[in-house]
Amino acid sequence: MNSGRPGPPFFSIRGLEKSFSGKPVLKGVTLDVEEGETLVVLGASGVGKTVLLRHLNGLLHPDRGEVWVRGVRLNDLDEDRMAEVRKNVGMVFQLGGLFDSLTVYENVAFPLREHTAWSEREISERVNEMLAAVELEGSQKLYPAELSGGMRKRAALARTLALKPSAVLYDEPTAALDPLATRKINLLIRGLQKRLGFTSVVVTHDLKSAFVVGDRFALLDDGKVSFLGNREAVRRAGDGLMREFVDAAQ
Amino acid sequence: MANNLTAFLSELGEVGLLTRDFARLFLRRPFEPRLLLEQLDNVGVKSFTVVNLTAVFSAMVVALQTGTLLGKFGAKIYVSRIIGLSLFREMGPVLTALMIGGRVGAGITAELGAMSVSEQIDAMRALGANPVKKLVVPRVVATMIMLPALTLIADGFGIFGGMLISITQLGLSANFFLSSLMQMTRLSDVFGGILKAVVFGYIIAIIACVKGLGASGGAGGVGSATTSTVVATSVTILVTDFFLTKLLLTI
Repeated sequence: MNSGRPGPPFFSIRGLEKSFSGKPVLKGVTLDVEEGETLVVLGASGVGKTVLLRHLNGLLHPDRGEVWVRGVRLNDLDEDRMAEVRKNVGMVFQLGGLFDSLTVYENVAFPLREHTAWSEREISERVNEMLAAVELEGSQKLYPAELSGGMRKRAALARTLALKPSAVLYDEPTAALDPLATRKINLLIRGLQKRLGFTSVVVTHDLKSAFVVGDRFALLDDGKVSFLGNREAVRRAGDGLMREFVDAAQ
Repeated sequence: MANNLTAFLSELGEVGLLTRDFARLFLRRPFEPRLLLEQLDNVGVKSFTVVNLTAVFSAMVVALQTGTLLGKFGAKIYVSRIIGLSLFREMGPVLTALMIGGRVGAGITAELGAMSVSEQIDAMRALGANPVKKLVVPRVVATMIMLPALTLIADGFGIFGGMLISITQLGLSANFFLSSLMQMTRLSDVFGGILKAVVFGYIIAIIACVKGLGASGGAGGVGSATTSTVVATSVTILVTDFFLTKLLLTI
């Protein structure tokens, strides 16, 4: 993926600390995500993976430390300027986050109506293109409540990709899905990432899914990154939590 | 006690912050007339029946009680004046606000709360849209427009109810009732009630939005937030009414 001399990282996290109600969750996370790669953040439930992810598009603000996106320091941005960053950094939520009062078509059209002055025909073309990319043709008129868990995740992915962002953040993309739907989502994430070339950060506790979609892997433990490496490094991990993860997955 | 005070001050701070964001985004383009129309319909049209039923029967009770009491002193003729003043100044805006606080305020909190706990609010922010502009502004504006409108209509229905009792139970004529009402009612009485309704509209919608956007913890959290909205809006309306009445009586 990162052949030749790497350019500046897409995401750069420096000494990130975050507490909730006095309880520290992140205790100094430092991590770079290179342009075009898929970094998977692994860790046990409740360790702060989602908290880390939500700092990358400014949904949460650091108590200490810095978050940079393509050279822009998010700490300094107000909500209006953050919106500009978010157009370029999409996010797929664990529960999908689809607007349940809108149809699938209107959900995918939402960011286009919000950020472009496109005609209805142009919007329709892009929505249909995105729904085809996630294999949801024919679902335009359905409401989120009428979709299965896997379909909801795919519709959310289509909505996230509608503006063709440069990076996509995935929060537990396969949580609560059956094995077939999990496989489908993983292949979809990998396929779209290869085809469209965007940078991805995937948060999961599922190592099998991580191996399908990821280029590099970070393990979050006790509020810090305790392991960082590629697939081979994960397999060769000696003692420690990453080894336990690998063994448990097998 | 200390915890309750902290929670109260914290919520007051959130109301202040949301008010600041509302004021900042209220006139920012693009305006979204479709979202406002949806809310005008939800707040106004769908509350029409419940608000007017409340006004009619409350005014009928006032007419019966005051008419019976005043009749003992031979002063039944003042019933229309009492009904007019109490409706325009107090009962119209306060009862309408309490009903809207229960119906619309609770609805806003439940809707925004459900969106919060299912990550829809975060998704909206992540898509570069501002939830205050998209969700809060139309709801607050619609409630501030529709509450005075509903109050005016409720005043009319209340007068009708009071007149009905005055004619059928107290033996007054419709002509006498209306002319006496017109003589004693000043335009400032009606405007005072309308001003109160605008303030109450703002209070209901902003509290409901704060509680809804802050809801967490699944269905239970949404339920508590909704209950809390009804209590908070009712108490705030009654307390604010006292101070507004004091203010209006001095000017």
